[in-house]
Amino acid sequence: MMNSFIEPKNIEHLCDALNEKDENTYILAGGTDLIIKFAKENISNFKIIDISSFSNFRSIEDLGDAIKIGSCVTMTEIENNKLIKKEIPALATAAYNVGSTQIRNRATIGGNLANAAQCGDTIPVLFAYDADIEILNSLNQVRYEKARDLVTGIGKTTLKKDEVITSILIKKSKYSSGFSKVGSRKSVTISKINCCGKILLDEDNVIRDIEIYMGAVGVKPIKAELIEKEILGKSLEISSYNLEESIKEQIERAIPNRSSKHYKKIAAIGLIKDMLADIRR
Amino acid sequence: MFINVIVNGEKINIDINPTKRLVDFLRDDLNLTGVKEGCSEGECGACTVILDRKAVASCSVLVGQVNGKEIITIEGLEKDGELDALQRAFIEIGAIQCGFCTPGMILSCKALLMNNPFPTEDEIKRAIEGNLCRCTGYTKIVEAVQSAIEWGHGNDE
Ligand code: FES
Ligand code: FES
Repeated sequence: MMNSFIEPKNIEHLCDALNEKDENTYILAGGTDLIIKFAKENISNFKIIDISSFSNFRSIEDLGDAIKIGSCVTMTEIENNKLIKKEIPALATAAYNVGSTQIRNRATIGGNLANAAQCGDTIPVLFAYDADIEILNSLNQVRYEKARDLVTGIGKTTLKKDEVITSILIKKSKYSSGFSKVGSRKSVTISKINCCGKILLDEDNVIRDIEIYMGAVGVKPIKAELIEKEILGKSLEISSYNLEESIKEQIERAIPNRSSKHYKKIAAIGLIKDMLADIRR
Repeated sequence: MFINVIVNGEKINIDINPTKRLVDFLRDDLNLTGVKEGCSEGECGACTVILDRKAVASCSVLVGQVNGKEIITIEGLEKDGELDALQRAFIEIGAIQCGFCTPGMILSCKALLMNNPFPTEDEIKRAIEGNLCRCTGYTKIVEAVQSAIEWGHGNDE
């Protein structure tokens, strides 16, 4: 088999390419996961559909009541975007905290989602914000799915063979949010956990509504209900040490049979603390 | 596939396998061996080049993706026999030991200065987070970048 490289110029061209996609064909966006995977797993026979320069997928749009982020928008673009900083601060923090400048310059939000890596930093944010994912297939049909439903496990999504993520839609709201993570390098993968908290504050800085998602304590980010319950109605100034019991219990429930749970219980206390601090910033 | 790319200021039009990695293309086809390959996993930064004014790991880019774009490697920093201020600073401050990380390190710093001519210390540190150095302990590297800024690196931009 000859390797091939298709760079679609328009939607029709992209649909044709998706139509011919077989098990050796990969959709390439930033390449920070895919090309490394080729090298690691010695995959030398492959066909590429490169969407990284596809302009339709590269913009961040203000739709009035929502924000539309193209699937090939990079982490660098997200962290520097004023609209995202204002409306979805946790997403800006998550992008800011991705490994290295070189990776941030290439890694895309759509790639993060499609790869569904357990430590994908933007995923808990998309879960907390109830993001809708726009997906295109080879027949030029569009469907929408919640990020929460799209990701089904580690490296697993509901994406079909001829489908590609085109954009991510997030509704604007009065909520503010924060993101935090522990461990950033691949060499310390075991310690990687991350979390996004999205809260609604009243005039007295009391938390009136809260949604917390934690990543890497399960096959996909989990809703931290016990911690949410504990924080609800409290002041934003709350110290995470007062939440210790519920944080530990939350991790216990998420990964009861994993030896990493002991470490992750301790790490999660710092994680929640940093997430709250990020909201206060 | 025919690829058009500007490398170190020179227009190149070449018939090449677009599924080759950028690092292999630069080293094997263009003989730009200043581009180093360390980890092949996007983690060490030795293979860093500047692609359209941004630092990228050339082990995680395919040649087909650079069509119509502009690349700078360490070989492109010297102008008319004169080293770039960053290169001079790295030498004078002693920010180089074995030198394996140096091309990538300097290019990460160069990309930073192209977009942010007067970075803070934290911004410098952040820019080189993806460049591992086993020898220097980074202090000298940050110092070198600060010296290059003092010496007026930006005049050539
Ligand atoms: S060789 Fe590319 S980052 Fe290490
Ligand atoms: S000088 Fe040896 S790795 Fe940096």
